[in-house]
Amino acid sequence: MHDPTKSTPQDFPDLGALKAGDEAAWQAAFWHLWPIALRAAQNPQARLEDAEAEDVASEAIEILISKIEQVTSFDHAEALVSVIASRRAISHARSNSAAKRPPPNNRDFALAEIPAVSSTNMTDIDLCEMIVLLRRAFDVLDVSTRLMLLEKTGDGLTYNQISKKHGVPLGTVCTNVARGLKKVRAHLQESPLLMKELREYLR
Amino acid sequence: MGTEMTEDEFDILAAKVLAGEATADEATRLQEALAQDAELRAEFAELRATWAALKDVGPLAQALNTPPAEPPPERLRKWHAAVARKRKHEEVDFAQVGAPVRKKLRVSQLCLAAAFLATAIIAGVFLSHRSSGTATSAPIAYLVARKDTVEVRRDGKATAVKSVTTLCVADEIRLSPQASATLITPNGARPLQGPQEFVNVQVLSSAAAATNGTETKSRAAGTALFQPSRQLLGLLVTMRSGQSIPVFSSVVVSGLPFSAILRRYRPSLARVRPGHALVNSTGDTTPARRKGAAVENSSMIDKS
Repeated sequence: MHDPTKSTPQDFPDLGALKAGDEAAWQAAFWHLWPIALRAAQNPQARLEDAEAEDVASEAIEILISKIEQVTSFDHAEALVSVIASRRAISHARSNSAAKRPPPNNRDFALAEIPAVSSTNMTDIDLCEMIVLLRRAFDVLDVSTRLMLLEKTGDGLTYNQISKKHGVPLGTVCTNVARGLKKVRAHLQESPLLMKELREYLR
Repeated sequence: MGTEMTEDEFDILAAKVLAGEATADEATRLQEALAQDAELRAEFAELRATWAALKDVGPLAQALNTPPAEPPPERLRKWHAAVARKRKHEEVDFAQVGAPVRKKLRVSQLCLAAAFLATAIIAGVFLSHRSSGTATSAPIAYLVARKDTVEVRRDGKATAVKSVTTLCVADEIRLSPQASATLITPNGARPLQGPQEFVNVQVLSSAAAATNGTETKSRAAGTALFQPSRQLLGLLVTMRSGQSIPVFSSVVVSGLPFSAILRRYRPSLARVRPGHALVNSTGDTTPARRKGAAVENSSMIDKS
């Protein structure tokens, strides 16, 4: 008897086949989705143990399976699983923190220290759309600009740290980051509603 | 862009201010430039929004570029089981709706006919109910014409004209000079040429009888076109028992009775779930050939 868990992914999974419950399509999808979900679950803000992050990633994939009818493309499926995994990682961290919370006068890890996945309170649909647009934007950035942008906005390194790491002047780092930011903005403007929503939230 | 600040200077200052790494002097310098230049303000607002988006979801977007990797086998088994459970659950839902009827269908042709008849009665009631709101529901003729060349007035008001417009007793039509139309009546078809000013449809229909005089060749088609909806019950039952009209799967018979009567599907193209089958009007079944097959858009017999 054919064991679908033994085969390896051939092509990019077909969404129609996934919705029809095709095992081979799902097998290919799992190879794509697993590392994405795992990386999202390893959100540094959540600080989960490796085993916990694996559990969270696995749960995220199970949730995606149940929501597959709502997904419009495989890009969207990947974005959705990353959002679910990230949200669940934060939620898991909050539960851990609440369970371990010491008396108020002696705690060093407050709940408020754990931010939500998105400070903009966007819906999952908007978030997925933004993730897909950002991914496309990253594809057109040169490697060093993309790295600097992510080190600055994602990892929280200072410009000085990035300057030393890459061996370039501070002004060059700032210019690269600003120009990378403009290119990303150009991609986000493909969805004017999303951009408007962001601007209004930040007003 | 402000005249007193170069693009490079703006880029550097914006990057520092957004990151919270600007000195007081640098922040003031940017603030002054923004105060003087609306275009620069708009650009900075968009960069700020982009910065926020990157901070929030940039790492997730980057995660999407992670290369495929083999998941642990025990996780794979668990997810495949979840997929199977979901598929089974959907099929159970489907079966719960259609099973009673399918079971009856297998029992005998008599039961099949009874189910069809019951559905036809419901559809007849439905059609009758639909038509009860208008006293002139029985069409007297159909007008085939380009919609921008014809005007139809009902009770003194212009009504919507389609490529084929259903006409009632008191309707009047006006054809523009370039109009070329065909009036289909119970007595035959009559070509119409513009210009003609608001002609009573009943008069035209009678005239068609006088000039054409031939009987409609297909009584069934004539009945379908011109009998009031409530009298169509027999016709619908007749159509269902014909060899050429396939009947959609039992879920439609039980769950959506009107659709079963009113829609025609080609069994080879209808969407069927694995493990289910189409049942045609003679009781023969066509098993699902593959999952998620393409669906043929249905044609609808609708007299509205």
